[in-house]
This record gives sequence, structure tokens and C-alpha cells, in this order.
Amino acid sequence: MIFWRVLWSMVGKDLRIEWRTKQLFISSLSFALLLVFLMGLVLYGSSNMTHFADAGLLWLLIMMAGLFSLNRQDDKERWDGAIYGATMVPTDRSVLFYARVMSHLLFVVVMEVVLVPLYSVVLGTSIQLAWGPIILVLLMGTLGFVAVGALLTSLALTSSLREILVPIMIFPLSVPLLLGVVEVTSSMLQGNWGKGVWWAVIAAYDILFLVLPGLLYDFIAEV
Amino acid sequence: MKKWQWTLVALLGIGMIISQYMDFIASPPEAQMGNVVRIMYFHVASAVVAFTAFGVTALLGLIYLVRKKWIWDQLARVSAEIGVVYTTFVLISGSIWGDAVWNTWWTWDPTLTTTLILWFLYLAYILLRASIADRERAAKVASVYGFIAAIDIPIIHQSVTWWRGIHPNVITAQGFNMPPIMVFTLLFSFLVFLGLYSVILWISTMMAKDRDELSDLRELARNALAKYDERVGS
Repeated sequence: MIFWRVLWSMVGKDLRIEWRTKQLFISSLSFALLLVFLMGLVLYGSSNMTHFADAGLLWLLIMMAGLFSLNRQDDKERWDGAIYGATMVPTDRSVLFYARVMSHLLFVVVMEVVLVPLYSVVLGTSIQLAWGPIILVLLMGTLGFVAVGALLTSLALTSSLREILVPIMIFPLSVPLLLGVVEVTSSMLQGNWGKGVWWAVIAAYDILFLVLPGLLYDFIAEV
Repeated sequence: MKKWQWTLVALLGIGMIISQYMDFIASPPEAQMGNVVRIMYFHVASAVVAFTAFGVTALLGLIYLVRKKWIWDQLARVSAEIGVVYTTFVLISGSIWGDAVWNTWWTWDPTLTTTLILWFLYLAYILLRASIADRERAAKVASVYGFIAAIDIPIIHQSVTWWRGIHPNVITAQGFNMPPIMVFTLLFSFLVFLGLYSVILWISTMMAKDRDELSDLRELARNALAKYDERVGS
């Protein structure tokens, strides 16, 4: 299948570039770590924060860090007109979208591996549930966020307000996802799986923003 | 503008005056809220215009993606702009009403929250369009964004409703049984507001057409001048 070969070579390219420079990863992670530190500072130990606020802060943190990387990664594609070359893929152009989602997902997940434990240490949050469900909600939430992010960064590619516009578009659009993951995560902090309806919201959001952009991507891939 | 168009606009103007009369004088004050109820005629009518405008944007954006005709995109753009203005009216008038009746300027009621998100979504739409220089690219991108935003709105509303359902609800919406005169006033204000929306939509689109033609002509003149300079060898 040529689609899969193109997908893997594009994701591989992103990973190779990142592996060789480590620029993006180090800058995004330092930014995120700084945010965790600042939150710890202004909240002065979170002993009296509600679980909902705790989960909400964690997800805002993840989204901020993810956003930072969305913007930075996007810059790379504009250098030397790389994006023009990419539109010549010998298959459906939606592959560009899925490749972006894949590499953003890998990138943000690796950051979460560092961030989430650190967050729980700095803010004194103890997780009352096994790691399995936590990892599941982190993966699903991140997938939805990077999917809508990948779409919006391509939409704003030629905009002169790109850096500020992506956050302005992404946060209102991802309100259902944000509410879903925060509700589920805050339940997990209290030791249960959370309401089924929120899992359904997260899943529906993930599916919607994985399928819909694939269908519409052909219109926006040509720069 | 042609004569029949002037006539329609004049009729709309008369309708608006009648509507004002009905809002402020003919319709009675409400039993509990008193005169504050009159805000409703602006508030709800603005909301109707805003939702219609965003619906039109999504639909025409989709038509543009299929047909690639300039007019569909321009109508979609102007409609989104009008929608944002009316959503602002909705939020402000709702806040004033809320302060008088609920005794709070803002509450995380599902409808209020959704409306605020809607405002942000379409503000981004305007910014997105305004910041892309290539006209065709802007049209395509905005159509895709407008469509996605419109699909997301029911999900946003549903999730916000569930979210509030879990937390304590301080204020419940109170239903009021309206006498026929109030219902009529409300419906009449819908009619007038939608009429105004159509007029603004149409005039702004015509203006956009002129603007684009002008910028095309400028481009043409610039190219011709450049060519002339080249030939003369200056």
C-alpha cells in the first residue's frame, strides 16, 4: 500500500530531523517544565485544590506544551518550500494530515512521559487509580488535540497571524474534548473510571477530527 | 440600487420603527420582570440573526468548496461578520438582562457558555480570513474552517450541558407564559432583524465585489506600468 509507505516515510522524516537536532523537543519541554514550576509556585502547594482544578490545570499544561510544538513543527515545513514538495505525494493528500497527526502525537506523548509524573510530584497530586486508565485517557485526549491542531496549523499555514491564530482557533474548537478529559481525569484522581458519557465525548471527538479533516484536506493541501 | 430594492429597504425602515413602537410602548411590562422584559425583543431576535448567519456561513462555505464561485464565498464571509456583531449584541444584552433578573452578569449556563464559544469561534474565522493575502486560499481555508466549526457547535453545546448537569446549578431558566401581544412583538422583531440582516448581507457583498474589482484593476495597472517601464528602458 503506497499510502502507508508514504505515511511512514513522512513520520520517519519528522522523527529523524528531531532526533538529529533535538531542538524542538528540548525547547518545548523546557517551556513545559517551566510552566509546571510556575504553577507550583503560584499555587504554593496544591493541598486545597479540588480534583477538578487539578485535572484541569494538568490538561491546560499539556495543551499549552502541545500547542508550542504544533507551532514550532510547522515552521520547519515552511523552510525552503518543503511543503510544496510534500504536496506532490503519489497518493491521496490526506496522508499529509495523518502523517502530521502521527508525528505530533509521538512528540507530545514523549513529553507527557516527563510532564505528568513531574506534575503530580510538584503539585502533590496522588493518582488513586492504576496507570492503565490514566495512560488511556492521556493518549485519547492527546490524539484529539493533535488531530484538530494538525488541521488548524495547515489552515493557518499562509496566515500572517499564524502563531496567535492557532491558539485562538484550537481552544474554542476543543472545548468538548477538554471538558471530557478533565472530567475523566478528575474522576481518576478520586479512584474511579469516570462517567461513560465523557468517554463517549472523547471518543466521538477523536473520531470526528480524524475522519473529517481526511475528507476535507484535499481542499487545503494546495498552498 | 434599483427602484424595487429601495422600496424594500424603505419598507424595512418602516417595519423597524413599528417594531420599536411595539417593543417599548404597545407590549405590556411583564408581571415579575417589569420593563426589563423588553430586552428580550432585541436579545432573542439578535440570537436568531446570529444563528442564521452562522448557519448560512457554513452552508455557503460548503457550496463554495464544490462550485468554486466567488459569490458564495463572499456571502459566507459577510454573513460570518454580521453573525459576530449580533453575537456580541446577544452577549451584552443577555448580560444586562441577567444582572436585572438573575442578579448576576454572567453564569456558566449551557446556553451562555455555548454562545460565548460561538463568538470566539467566528472571531477566529474573521481573523483567519483577514490574515491570508491570497484571496482564493483564504476562501478555501475559511470554508473548511466554517464548516468544521458548525459541526463542532452541537457537540460543544451537548458537552457543556452535561458538564453543567454534574455541577450545582445556581440558576434555572424560568419559563414565562407570554400573552399574544408579546409573542407577536417578538415574532415581528425576528422578521425585522432578519430583514436587516439580509440588507446588510446584500450591501456588504456588493461592496466586497467592488473592492475586489478595484484591487484587480490596480493589479492590472501596476503590471501595465511595469511593462511600459521595461519597454522604455528606464
